[in-house]
This record gives sequence, C-alpha cells and structure tokens, in this order.
Amino acid sequence: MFESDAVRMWIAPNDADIAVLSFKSKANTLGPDVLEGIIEAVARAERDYKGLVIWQAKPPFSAGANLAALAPALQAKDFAGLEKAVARFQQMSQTLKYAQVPVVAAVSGMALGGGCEVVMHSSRAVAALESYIGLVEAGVGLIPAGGGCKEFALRAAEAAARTAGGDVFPFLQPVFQTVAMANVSKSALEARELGFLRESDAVVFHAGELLHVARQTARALAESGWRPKLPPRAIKVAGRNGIASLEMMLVNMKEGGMISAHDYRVAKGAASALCGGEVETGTPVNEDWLLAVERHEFVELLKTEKTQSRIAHMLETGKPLRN
Amino acid sequence: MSNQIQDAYIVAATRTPVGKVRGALKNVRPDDMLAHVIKNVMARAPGLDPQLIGDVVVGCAMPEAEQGMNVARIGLLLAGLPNSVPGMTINRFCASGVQAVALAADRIRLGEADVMIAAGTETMSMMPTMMGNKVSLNPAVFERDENVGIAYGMGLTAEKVAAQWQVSREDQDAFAVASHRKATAAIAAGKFKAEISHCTVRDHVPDFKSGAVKIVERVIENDEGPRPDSSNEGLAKLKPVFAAKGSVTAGNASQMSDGAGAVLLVSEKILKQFNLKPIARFRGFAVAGVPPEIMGIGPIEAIPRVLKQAGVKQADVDWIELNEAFAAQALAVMRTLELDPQKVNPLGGAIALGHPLGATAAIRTATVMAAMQRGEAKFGMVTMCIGTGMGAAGLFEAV
Repeated sequence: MFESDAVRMWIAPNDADIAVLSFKSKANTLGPDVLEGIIEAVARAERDYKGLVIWQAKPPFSAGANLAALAPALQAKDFAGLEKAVARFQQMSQTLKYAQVPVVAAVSGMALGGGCEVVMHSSRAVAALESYIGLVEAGVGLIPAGGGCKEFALRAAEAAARTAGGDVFPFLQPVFQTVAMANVSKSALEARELGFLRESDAVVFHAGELLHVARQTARALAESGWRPKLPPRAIKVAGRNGIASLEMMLVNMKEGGMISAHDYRVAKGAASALCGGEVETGTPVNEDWLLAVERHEFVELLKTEKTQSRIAHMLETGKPLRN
Repeated sequence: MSNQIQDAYIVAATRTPVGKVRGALKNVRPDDMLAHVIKNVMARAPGLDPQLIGDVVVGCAMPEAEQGMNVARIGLLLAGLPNSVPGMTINRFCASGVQAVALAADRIRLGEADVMIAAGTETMSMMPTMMGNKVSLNPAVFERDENVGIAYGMGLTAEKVAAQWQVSREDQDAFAVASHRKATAAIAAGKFKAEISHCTVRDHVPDFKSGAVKIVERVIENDEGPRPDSSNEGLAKLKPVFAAKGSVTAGNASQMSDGAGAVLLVSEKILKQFNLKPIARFRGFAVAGVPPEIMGIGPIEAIPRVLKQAGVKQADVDWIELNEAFAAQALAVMRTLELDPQKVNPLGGAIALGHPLGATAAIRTATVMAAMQRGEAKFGMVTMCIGTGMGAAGLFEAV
C-alpha cells in the first residue's frame, strides 16, 4: 500500500484493519528517509486503519539512528542543519506518541538508540523475550535526543507525583546511570526493569508469535476506544539541584579513574537533559522544553572533538572508542 | 586552660553494642537506642535527681526520618526523663558524639548547668543511602574548583590521603587486620562488658499458623563487627571500591553500623551533693577545618590544638580513640603526629567495631571512660576526621 526506498507499509489479507510498517535499511537503522516513512505511515494509518504495528521480518528491530547520514553535515560543521535533523527525529517520536491510532512496536533483537526511542514513544510495545533494548548514545559521545531523555524525565515526574513528597530525583538516579553507562538490557524482562519497557508493555516468549500479539494488541486498543494521552503541560523536573547531585556521582567516578573527562562531559549532558536543564528544582515544564534541552545538549556534544572522534571510529570500525 | 569557672566531670558513660548495618539492631529505632542509653547512663548515677538535668545534647550525622524530629527530645522523653528536661540534636557528622560532650561540658564549665547528658545515636540500617534520605547537592559546589572536594565521597577522600601520604595497600590491610584482632581479643577478655548496656531487641514477626503477631526477643551483648578470621590474605583479595587503581577496599574501611552512646556530666557541686564518684574531668575539645578532598587528615590539626589548649603533652596521653574511618587516613594521622601505635585504639577501632556515624564518638568516649575505670589511662582522647573536611578531638583526664 505504501513503499519507499526506506520503508514498506503493508497489510495481511486476514488482518486488513491493522497496518504493518517494516524498515528496509541495513540493520533497520533510522535515517532521514526512514523517519519520513514512519511519519507518512502514521498519517496513512490514522486515515485508513485501526492501528499500526512496527515490525521487522528479521531482527534487529533497529540498530538505531544512522550515524553515517549525519557524517556529511558533521564534516561541514553544519550544526544548525544537524539540529534540524534532530528536531525532525523528535517530531517523528512525538508523531508516534500522539498518533490518533494505536502504534505498537513489535520488538525482537536489538532496539538501540533511536530504535529504543521508537519503542518508548509507541502506544505499546510487544517484545520478544530475547530483546536487547538500550539507549547507547553515550558510546559515541552523545545523549539520547530523539525524545528518550524527555520520556524518562516525564516518566520520573509521573512516578514522583504518586509519592508523598513528590521528589523526582530518586526516580531519575537509576535512569541516569542506565543512560550514562549506555546499558543495554539482556532480555525484555530486564528492559522493563531498566525502564525502557513499561508495565503495560507485553513480553512474548515465542518470537514467532510477535506479529500476531502486536496486531491483536493494536486491535484491542483501537476497539477499546483508543485516544492518545493529552500532552502533559506541567512536568516537574529535578532541575539544577538534580544536575548537581548527579554531577556529584560523576566527580567521584572521574576522580576515581573510572570514567574519562569526556565520559564526564557526555554524562553531564545526559544529566541536564534528564533534569530539564538549569531551572529550579520542581519547576513545571512541558515536553517541548525537555526536547529543546536534549537537542541543545546533543548538538553541543557534536561540537566536541572527542565526540566527533567517537563517531568517526564507530563508523570506521563498528566499535566504540574510549577517549 | 580556658576561662571556665568550674570543672565538668564525667560520672557515667555507656553505650549499646554496635550492630552491623542491617544486622542485629536493624529494626531498633535510633530514638529507642537513645532512650536505652539515657536510661542506663542515669541508672549508673543512682540517686541523681533527673529534674536537675540542664539539657540533653545528642549527636546525629543524618538527623532526618527515623532520627529526625529532634531525636534528642523524643529519646529523652521515651527514656522517662521528666518533660521539664530539654533536648537538642546537633550535627558535626562523625564527631557529633564528642561535640555533644563538649557542648554539655561547656554549659557546666560556664556555670550555666550542673547536670548534662551528652549522647549520640545513629541507625545506618534505616538510612536509604549513605547520604541520608534525600540527596541534593548545591550546584554552586561546581562553580569553583576549590569547592569540588565537597562532592567527593568519603572513600575517594581516603584514596587522596593514601596517595598524598603514601599509605600502601599492604599497610592499610595490615592495620585493618590488627583492628579486628584487637577487637576480638578485647571481646574475649570481656573488656567491653562494663561500658556496654546490653539490648533486648523485640522483633514483631507474623506467626502465620496462628495469624497473630509474635514477639521474638533477642539479647544483644557484644559488638557485631569484629571478625576473628580477618587476614591479610583475605583482605588482599578485595577490590578497590572508590578508584579504579586505588587501595581503599571494604575491608580496610570502617563498617556501616547502628548504635548509641551516652555520657553523664556534672559539676563539682553535684558530685558532693549526690556523693557521686567521678571517672574523668573534661579537659578540652578542639575542632579544625582541612581541605574537604583530604578530610581524613582532620585529626592532624585537631589533636595538637586540643593538647595546646589543655596544656597537656602528647606523650602524656595514654589512650587515644582515633576513629578508623579508613585505614589510610588513620595511618596518615598516626605517622604525621607520630602517635604511639600501642596507645591508639588498644581495643580495636571502627574497621572492626563499626562506625555508626554521629554516635561513634559518644560510644568511644564510653570506651575511654571504661579504660580509665580500669586504671589503664590517665589522659584519654577521642578524635576523628569529619566529612567535608574537619577534625575534632576531645581530651579527658582520669580523676
């Protein structure tokens, strides 16, 4: 029904009410054309179908953003252009999150970096037990900026709102470690513990059932009157005190020789994005604010020589560089 | 000497056994531990009218949650002291207990009170983190390089001291083993019996058969931390915790613990009025600041200061309770001041006996008092380093 060089949107004859979107890129990475394909697929699903499932015929679900696509702009030091590219990724994430039909991510294998952010912004995820999910951007000297930090900040604020004191920080601390250390889950169950999957996301023990369960999930959501959540307008953030408290952990790790100076710089960027920037603790902000902070931190890191070296090394060797 | 108008005398001192974190005392609230030692210290001065107590000063390093709400006042009321007796909680981190003794003594020395209780209480079992219930650092700490040390964890400061004072891993481990050996021998010889007020712990547990809540009683008589089997070989296997290429391990650092201690101080007038036998005279207290990133060296500044203030020579001090926050800093202090190892922690220190933060110095004051009662010390000292960069020392003279 819709196919580009990057994606294919299709339906099965017996499940014609739920559309399926599959990527065609190498390792199902997310380049600009895939982002446009996702946005187009959501629009078509909203118009013609009850729901959309993002599923790949073979793992991985997605190895993340296509770093090679960023390389020319990075070489040209076109940071304004790079910021626009990040903003477009964020638009894609928000499109998934606020789609008028349920979007279900059917995850099997790796869902890394931007792939993880697709999972986090889907209405639901259905994950095979053997799913390896993580925000690995720190490995290339970056932070998650496709809405991953924003989503963690929001989830922390929602969890804190259910507690007596309403303190966000205890909910951010473990997430910060996960992001700063680029931790990847060893299973779907661990992905839930790490916060990449929500309690409402399903784990499927037989990967062969993944597409079926994902379609059924999308259908059930649609038939139970699916409406996307209203965008939160008052997300309380940990702010500058939160950043300082996370920085305290980093100081100890750096002085103890456990992380490099650039690891420190990258992790501080993540701290800022997770805490909503240098605002007062408990300040209510909206998603746009959080997205702007993570975008800013991402671009500032791109400007650093060491992050550029990490990216170049990853593109050349496929392995992370510790510098 | 200072401009005091009268002496302050210690007539009683006692403590709980020290429990390992999440160990024997894990369910005992800090206000209950405090009440326990207050009751017992008063019991050691029979006949003394509790109405005369001017104040109860209680040290606590993390005075929040279970030990918040002015734990001093709650503890003294739970101990059954008259509600006319006031109480205040103070915090100088690890020196809180001896700071409490100094503040209490000062009220007597100034003639403003005749009877005072100084104490310390701390539960580390009930603290969710080493930094208390809520971690929140001031962002301004990172605005000036010289303040960044405030953000250092205590273990990292010990690594800095080990590096700067060239304290080897082998020396740290040997010091830790010695601490365990001394403590184990002291327990076996019954050296702590006089100072400890044993605790009867009542655990409320479900009896699933009957559906009732059952109360299980346990009597805790000894410190839980000392390990008779501690060895250099065993400790050498432990990995550094705070630095990738460091030397500070869980084995050569103090243990996290629960406990409380209390000290009863009176004026000469009260000694005579109630026919009380003093153990010691309070001779002085000093506290000094040092760079936060090497906080462990605090006693290097505090010890000479208190000795000078009291007009006492270091060689005349026969018993020094030097808190073993870390073997690295304890050794750095001992070497710099040339403290006689035979006089330092003769019954072991915090590496073996445990370190319930704000309670430790009150607990160790009880140890010094017991040594004086046994006739083993004329001058005794309680000294320690303090987080964020300080050192404190309190000096006592047996009478």
